[in-house]
Amino acid sequence: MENDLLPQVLERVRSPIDDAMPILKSIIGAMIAVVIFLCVVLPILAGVTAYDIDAWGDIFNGIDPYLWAGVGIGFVIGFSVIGAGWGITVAGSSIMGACVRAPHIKSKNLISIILCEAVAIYGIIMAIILSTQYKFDKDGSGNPTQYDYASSGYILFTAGLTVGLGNLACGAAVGIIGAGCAIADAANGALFVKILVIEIFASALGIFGIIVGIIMQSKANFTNQ
Amino acid sequence: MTHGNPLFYNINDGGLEAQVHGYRAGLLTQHDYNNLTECDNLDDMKMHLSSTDYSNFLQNEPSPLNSGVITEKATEKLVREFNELRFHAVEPLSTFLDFITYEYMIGNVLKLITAVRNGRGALELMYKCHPLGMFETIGALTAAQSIDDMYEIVLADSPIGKFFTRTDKRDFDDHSTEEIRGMLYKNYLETFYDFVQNLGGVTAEIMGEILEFEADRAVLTITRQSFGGKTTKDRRKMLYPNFGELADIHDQLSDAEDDTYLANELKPYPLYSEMLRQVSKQVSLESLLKKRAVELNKNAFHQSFGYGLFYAFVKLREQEISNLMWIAECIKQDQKHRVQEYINIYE
Amino acid sequence: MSSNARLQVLPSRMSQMQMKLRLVGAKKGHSLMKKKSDALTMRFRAILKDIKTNKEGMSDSFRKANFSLSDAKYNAGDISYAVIESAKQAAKKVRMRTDNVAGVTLPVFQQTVDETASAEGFTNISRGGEQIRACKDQFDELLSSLVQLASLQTSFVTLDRAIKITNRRVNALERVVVPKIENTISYITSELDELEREDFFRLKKIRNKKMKDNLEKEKELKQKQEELAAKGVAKVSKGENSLLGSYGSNVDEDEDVIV
Repeated sequence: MENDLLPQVLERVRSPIDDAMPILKSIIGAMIAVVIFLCVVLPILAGVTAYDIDAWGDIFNGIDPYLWAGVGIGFVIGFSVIGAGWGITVAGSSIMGACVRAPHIKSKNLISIILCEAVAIYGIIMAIILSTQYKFDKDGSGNPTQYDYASSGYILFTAGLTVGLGNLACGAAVGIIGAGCAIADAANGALFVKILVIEIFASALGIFGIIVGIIMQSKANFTNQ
Repeated sequence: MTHGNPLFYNINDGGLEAQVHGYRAGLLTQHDYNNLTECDNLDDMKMHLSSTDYSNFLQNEPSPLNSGVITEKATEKLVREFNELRFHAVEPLSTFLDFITYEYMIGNVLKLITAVRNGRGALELMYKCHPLGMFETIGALTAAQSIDDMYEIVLADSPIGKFFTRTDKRDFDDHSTEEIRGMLYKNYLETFYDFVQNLGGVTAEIMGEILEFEADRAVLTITRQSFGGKTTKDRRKMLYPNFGELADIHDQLSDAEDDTYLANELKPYPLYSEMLRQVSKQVSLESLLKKRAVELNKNAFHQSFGYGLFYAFVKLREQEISNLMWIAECIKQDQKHRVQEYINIYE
Repeated sequence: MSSNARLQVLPSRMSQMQMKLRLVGAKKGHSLMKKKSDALTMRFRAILKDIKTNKEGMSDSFRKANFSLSDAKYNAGDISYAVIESAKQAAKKVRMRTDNVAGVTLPVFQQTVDETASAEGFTNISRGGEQIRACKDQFDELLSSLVQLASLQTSFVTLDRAIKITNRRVNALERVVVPKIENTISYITSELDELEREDFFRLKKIRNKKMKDNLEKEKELKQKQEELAAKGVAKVSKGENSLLGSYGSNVDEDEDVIV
């Protein structure tokens, strides 16, 4: 009788849901998906019915190096702005909330926003630097080899991707730390400087990406001059 | 899966979380409590409170204060803060905040049920209801003539209707109000627990701990209060929430009739057996459990990107209001030697 | 009250006897009353002592009970509504019986507990039940000592009145009734003595009168004899004549003196 009334009597123990297995499953799933995409979908799209390793060369050869370079430049500014925006969202919402009870923190904590903003600026700088490499050999005076021509495209693409992803991570990190910083500052002003140090370290992550990116792009050579 | 992820959490809930952190900073500190316990009368207390986060919440009160007024005004402040959070919250935080209020709603509805059972007008009791536990249709409850009416007309559609459906409404009259309270509370805890576990992330971690403790607390309280056979074994078991550390020994606990048996059963659980050992004439188990709950609620603030702190804030503020009431009563009744028995929240 | 007040009685032997009986009765009553008053006073003092200790403890237990209510509120929130709502009929009732001390009936209140009406269910299982139970115990204790105090106070007042009445009676017997009766008795005695003396005097007077009459008769007789002697008949002795004469002069002088 009681069991009818109280159906939950039957399920005895409510244990916390285990987070590990779903995450593991999604990672393994993603890996399998990538392999299937590269080994099955792409070859089929490229018109290969039987798997042929040489077809890869044809696929990538078919893409213009200028496309690679342009996408790289797009990535660097795009990812950087996403990172900066994300960071500002995360930090800004916390700063706003913390300001309700402790209005004095708002000007101090602008520094978190500025550090996030700096990430976007890195992206712009990097985009400008990369686009100076984006040159055309119109009269053929430079005569870049086919190899130079292709590798320049890949270099600009990967440099852009490197800096972009670096800035994305940097912006998110600065934002999350900025959120913590605002809350900590509101509770105890002495903590601000300490957390600011952490925030600056996070901000430095973006610079690593930029350094690597600058070194990489210096190798690019579309016009062989 | 995105809940509790630092990258996404703040988009909806960051501001409110920071605001709650701010509210938490407004809780009275040890220093404030020291000042308050030194007061000679309630007007002194009012003066000391005006220098804290409460500022001039008693400004418009006529001078002979009493602890009731202080409690009422402090609760008003809590409700104001809570509503501010509630109105800005979006899913799933809004549901979470609603869950916090359900506990008070249950209390209010039970008050009205008691009133209807005794054939009294429930209208005057409306004023005594906890303001956090008000819902739109609660006024309609006063019109009901019987408990079944109450259920059919109002409760089934109310936010807490889902807690009632799990018990058989036809059986209402077989149970005392306290048993209905116990059942509702059990259903509430279980539903809440399922909800936070489905949210996952930091919320599940922190709230899981808190709610499991609350469940164990309910189990221990029910067990100890029903020593002496007033509540039968089956009924006792019916009131135990179905989760928590003690879930494995519910069967044994429902047999317990004295502290020695209880202590024996609790041996595998060092936390509770230690508590039971400390119980003496001066220290009640309830106060120990309460201290532990405050401790857990404080811990909720140590982790970001979860909802635990919203719950913890309400509970800590509530404890603070109780503390204020205690100190005011001690001062008023000239029982200064017991004034230190309040539960300190922040050192 | 004047000391020579007395009852309106006919001074006679019979009323004297009656008065003496009444005096004995009054004295006996007085001593009994005195004893009763002593007994009551003793009880009175004992009750006073009880009241004193009880009242001294009362403020303390009031404070304790009120404070335990605060304690319960601190742990269980506002419980007043639930208590008010769950109270349907009195679980504790006071029954009165009487106690007899030296003929004075004292009311004694006794607390009876109606187990079925006790709102025990309320404290059963919710949070703070421990404190609520402690609070309930405190108030139970307070209530029983209140009932006891009420019983003592009522006895106190009743006894006080009884003692006053008894003392008034004792005093009335001692100061009014007994002296009055004594006065009456002495009055009766003196009246009776007076009567006796009057009788005595009257008898004396009568005797004198009779003696005078005898003398006169004798004189007449003597005259007659002298006349007769003159006629030479008889002689009367001189001694006898002088004795009678001295007696008669004495009586004349002391006629009004009471012997």
